Amino acid sequence: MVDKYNIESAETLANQAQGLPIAEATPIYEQLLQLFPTAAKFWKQYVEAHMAVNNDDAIKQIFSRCLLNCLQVPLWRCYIRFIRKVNDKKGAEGQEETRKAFDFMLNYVGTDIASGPVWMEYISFLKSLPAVHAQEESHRMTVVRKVYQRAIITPTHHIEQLWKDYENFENSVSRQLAKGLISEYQPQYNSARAVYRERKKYFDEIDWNMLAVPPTGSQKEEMQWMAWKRLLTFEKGNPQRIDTASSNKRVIFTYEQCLMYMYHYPDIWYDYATWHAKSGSIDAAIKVFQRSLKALTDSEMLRYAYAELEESRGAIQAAKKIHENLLGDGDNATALAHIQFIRFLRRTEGVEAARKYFLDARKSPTCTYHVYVAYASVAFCLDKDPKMAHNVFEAGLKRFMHEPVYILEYADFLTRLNDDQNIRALFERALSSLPLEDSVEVWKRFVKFEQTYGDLASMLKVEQRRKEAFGEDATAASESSLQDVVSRYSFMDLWPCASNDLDNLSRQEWLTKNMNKKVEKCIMLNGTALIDKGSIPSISTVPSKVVYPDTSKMLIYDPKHNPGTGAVTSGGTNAFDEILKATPPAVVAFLANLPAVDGPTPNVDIVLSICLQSDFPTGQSGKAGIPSQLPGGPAPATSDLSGSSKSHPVQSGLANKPTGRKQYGKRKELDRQEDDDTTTVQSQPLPQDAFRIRQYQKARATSTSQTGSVSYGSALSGDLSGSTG
Amino acid sequence: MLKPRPISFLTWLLSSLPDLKGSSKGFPKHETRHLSEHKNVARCARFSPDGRFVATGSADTSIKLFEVSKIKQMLLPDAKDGPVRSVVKTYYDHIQPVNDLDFHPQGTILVSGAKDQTIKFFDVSKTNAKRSYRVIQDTHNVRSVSFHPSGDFLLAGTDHAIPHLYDINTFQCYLSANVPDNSPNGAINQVRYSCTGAMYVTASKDGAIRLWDGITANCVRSITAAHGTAEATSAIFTRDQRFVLSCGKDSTIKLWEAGSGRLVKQYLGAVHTQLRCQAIFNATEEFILSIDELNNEVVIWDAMTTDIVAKWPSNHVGAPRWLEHSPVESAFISCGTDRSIRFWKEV
Repeated sequence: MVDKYNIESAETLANQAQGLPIAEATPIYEQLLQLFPTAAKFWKQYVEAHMAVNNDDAIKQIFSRCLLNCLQVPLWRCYIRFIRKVNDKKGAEGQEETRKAFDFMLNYVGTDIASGPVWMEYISFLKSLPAVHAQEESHRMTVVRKVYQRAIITPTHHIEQLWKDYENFENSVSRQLAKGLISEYQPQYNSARAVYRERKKYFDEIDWNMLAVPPTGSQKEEMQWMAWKRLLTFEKGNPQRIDTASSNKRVIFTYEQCLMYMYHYPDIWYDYATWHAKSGSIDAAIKVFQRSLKALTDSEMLRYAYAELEESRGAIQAAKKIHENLLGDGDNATALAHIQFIRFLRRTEGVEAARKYFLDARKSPTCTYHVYVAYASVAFCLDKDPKMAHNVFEAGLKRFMHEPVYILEYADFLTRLNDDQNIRALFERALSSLPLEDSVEVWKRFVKFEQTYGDLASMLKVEQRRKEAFGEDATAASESSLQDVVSRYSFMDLWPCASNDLDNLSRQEWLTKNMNKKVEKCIMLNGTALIDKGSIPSISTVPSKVVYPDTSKMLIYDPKHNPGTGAVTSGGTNAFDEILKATPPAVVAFLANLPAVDGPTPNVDIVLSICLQSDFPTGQSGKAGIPSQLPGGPAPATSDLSGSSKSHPVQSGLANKPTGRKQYGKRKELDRQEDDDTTTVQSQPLPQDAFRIRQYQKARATSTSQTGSVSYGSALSGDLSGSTG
Repeated sequence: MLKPRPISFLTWLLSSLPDLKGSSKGFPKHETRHLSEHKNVARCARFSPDGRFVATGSADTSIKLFEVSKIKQMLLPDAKDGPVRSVVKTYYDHIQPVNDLDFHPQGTILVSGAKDQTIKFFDVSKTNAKRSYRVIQDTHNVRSVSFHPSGDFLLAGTDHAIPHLYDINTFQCYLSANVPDNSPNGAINQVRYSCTGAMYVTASKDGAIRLWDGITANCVRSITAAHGTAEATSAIFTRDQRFVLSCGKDSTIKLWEAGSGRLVKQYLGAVHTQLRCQAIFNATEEFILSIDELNNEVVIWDAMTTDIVAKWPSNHVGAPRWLEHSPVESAFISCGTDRSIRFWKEV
C-alpha cells in the first residue's frame, strides 16, 4: 500500500519501458498510467513510443484518453506534431484539419505560461498556407492578425518575442495601418507583460516534474501545495483585468493543471468545485465532484460535499443516490452514514421515510448507540414527538446499557422533558449495572442532577453514595469537606467565597494529601529538575567563580517564524511529542503539576484570559507555576518569564494538527506512561486548547482517584492567585 | 569543565618568557584505531567534561555516543569476550546534518545543533531512549553549540551573526543589546564559552574572531580579518581564559591574547582551506593539534615554540574534518570525510 505510489520505482519502470519494443512496453505503460493517470510525461513517452512505429490508431486512442486531463504543453505539442504529420499530404482538407487542431489545442493550453512556441508555430503554419487570390490573401492576413492579437495578451515566456513579430507583421502589411493597430494594442500587451513577470514567479515555484501521489506530509509536498495555492489565488484575482469569461478560463486551466499534480488532494477538488458553484456553473461543479470521486474513491468528505451541492440545488434524487452509495451494501455501512442518511431523509422526504430507514438501520450489525441518539433527537427536535423519542431511547437502552455516553444522552433528553422520576430511575439502573471505571461521568451527572432537582437530603445522599462507590482513597473526600459545600453553593460563575479562599482550600487539600509523602515529587515543580538525573550531584562541580549572564541587559529574541517551514517533524504520529519537546521545561513542569480538580471547577477560558492579561508580581516564585531562579544569578525581569510561558504552548498548539485523542480510554495510556521509565513526567502529551486541557484533567481525575498514587500541585492555587494578583 | 587550574603551563610560559625560543618537547607516540562508521561524512565530535563519553555527529543526521572505557577495552590486544561494542547508542532525531555537539557540564545531557535549525537535548543516562527529549527550535542553521559552565544557559552559533543565548529552563532566547558591525557574511562557525562563563568567543565566516562579555553579551572585542578574508573555522579559550586559539581557512592557526587582542603566536605549515578545520589543545595545553588537508596528516605543534613536532598520516581516506581531544587524558578523536571515526591514544 505504501509502496504503491513509489516514485523511484515508477521512474525506473518508465525508463525500462523506453528500451523495450512497443508490444512489451504497452502493459508497463498501462500499469504506470493506472497509478498516475495525470502523469503527462508518462503519457508522452507512451504515445511517442507508438509514434515511432507509426501506430496511428493506437496513438489516436491514447490521445483521446489523456489530452483533456493533462494540460501540459509538451504533450499537446506532441499531439499537434502527430496531427500535422497525418494531415500533411491531404491538401486543403488536411490543412483545415490541422488548423482546427491548433484552435482546439490553444483553447485548452493557450493560457499556459509555456505556450509561446505553440502560438508561434500556429502563426507560421497559418502564414505558410497557400493563398492564390488576393481575397484569400487578405483573408489569411485577417486570421493571422487575430491569432497575433490573442497571443500578445497572453502572459507567456515568449510574449516579448511575439510582440516584436506582431509589429513586424503589421508593418509588413501596411505601414499606415500598423501605427494605429500597434498603438491600440500596446497597452494591452504592456499589461500582459507585467502580468507575465508576476506570473512567472508563481510558476517558478512549482515543480513540473512531480508525480501525483497521495499526501504524505513531507515538506516538499507542503511547499508545492502552498505554491499551487498561491498561483490559484493569483489567477483568481484576475491580475490582468480581462473580461470575466477569459479570466475564468484561466482559473479553470490553472485548477486543471493543479489537479494533475495534486490529484490526491481532496481540498483542491473541493475548492475547484465550490469555485465553479460560486461562479454560477453548478453543472461544472458537479462534473468536478464526479471526477473527484473517481480520483479519490473512498473520500467520504467529498461525497458529503457533493451530496450537499446536489441537495441544495434541489436535485434530491441525485443526492439520495450519493447517500446510498455511502451506505454501500448496507452491512458495512458506518454508523455515521446511517445517521446522515436518516437526517437527509427527514429533510427531503419527511417523517415517515426517516422512521422507516431507522427501523431498517437498527437491524444493521454496524448500528451503534449513535444511531439511536441521532434518530431520537430527530424525532424530538424536528418531529416534535417526545413520545417517539422516548420510545427510541428506551428501546436503545436494552442494547446499550453498558455505554455511559448513551446513558448521559438519555438523561439529557429526560432532563429536557423535566421528567425527574425517570431520570432518577435511569441513573439507578445504569449505576447498578455499569462497571465502576465507566461510571465516573454518570455519577458526576447524577450529583449535578440532584443539585438541580433534588432536595437537600437527596443531594447529600447522592454525594455520599458516590464517595462510597469509589471506595475513597487518600483524598480528603471521605469526610465532607468545605470544598463540597463550595461546589454545592456556587452557581454558574458565582462563588460563595473569594478566590483566595479557594486557593487556600485547594492548597490545604494538597497539603493533606502530601503530608506523609516525601518531597521528591515537588522537585518536579522546579524546572531545573531535568538536569538532576545524572549520578553526579549538580552545583558542587560548578567552578566556584562562574559568571552568569544578566539577561535583563539583553534583548529578547522571540522568533515568530512559521512553524510550518522550520519545525518539521519526521513522523506525523509524534508531531505532538515534538511540540511538547519544544515547550520550555518550566511550562511543561507547570502543566504536569496541574491537579485534577475535584469540586468546583473554574471556567478555564476565563482563568486563561485573566492569566494572559495580568502581570505576575515577583514575590510569587515559591509557589507552583513559576520556576525557581538560578542560585546567585540575577533574576530576569518577571515580565519576560510570563511572556515566554504564555506565548509558547498556545502558539504551537494552534499551529499543529489536532491529535484526535479522546478522553475516554486515555486512562490506561496515562498509567502506562507513568510506569514507563523512558518517558519523563514532562513528556506526557498535553492537549492544546482550553477545552482539551479541561477534558484531559477530567480524565486524569479518574486515573488519580483510582490509583491514588499520584499527587500533584494545585492548579486552583496557581490559576486563581494569578487572577487576584 | 575541568577542575579550574590556577594557571596553565602555557600561560605560565607565555607570560613569564614571552619570546622564549627553546627546544621543543616531543609529543608522545599514539596508536590509532578505527572506531565506527557513520553513513555519511562524520562532521563533529565532543568529549564529555569528565572524559567518560565521546559523541560524534554526522551528515547522515545521526549522533553516536561512545563510552571511552569501552573504547580502551576494545583497543586491548586480547579482548576476551569477543569484540567489544564501544558505541553505546545511536540517536536518530535530526533531519539534517549535525553540526556540533556539547555535553552538559554536570549532568548527563548531550545537546546537538544541526542544519535543520534545531537544538536537541538527549539524556545519555537513559539507556533505551533513542530520541531527544527536548528541542529548541532556532531560526537559523545551528552551526555550533556551547554550554555555559553552570549548565543553565546554552549558546548557539548560527547563520545569524549574533550568538543566540538560551536559558534552558525557559527556552527564552536572548541577544546582545549592542551589536557592533552587522557583517553580512557573519555566520558563526564556532562559539565557545570560557571556563568560567565570563566570556565567549565566536569564529565567523567573515574571518573575524569576536569576544563577547559573558554578563552583558556585548561584543567587547572584534578581531576583524583575523584570518584575512578567509573563514575563521574554530576558536577556543585556553583554560585560564587569557588566550584564544583560532584556526582559519587561510591555513593559519593563531593564538591571541584575549585582553588586548594582540596576536601572540602563529602555527604554520599545515594546509587547511576546504573543511571547517579545528585547531585544538591537548589535555595539558602544551601542544596544538590540527590537520593538513593536502597531505592528509594530523599535525602537532609545540604550543610554546610553534615548531611542528609531529606529522602523522591521518589513516583516513581523504583529510579528516574534525579533531577533538579528551580533556583528561592523552587521547583524541578524528572524524573523517570518509565517514569513519578514529580514536587515537598515547601508547
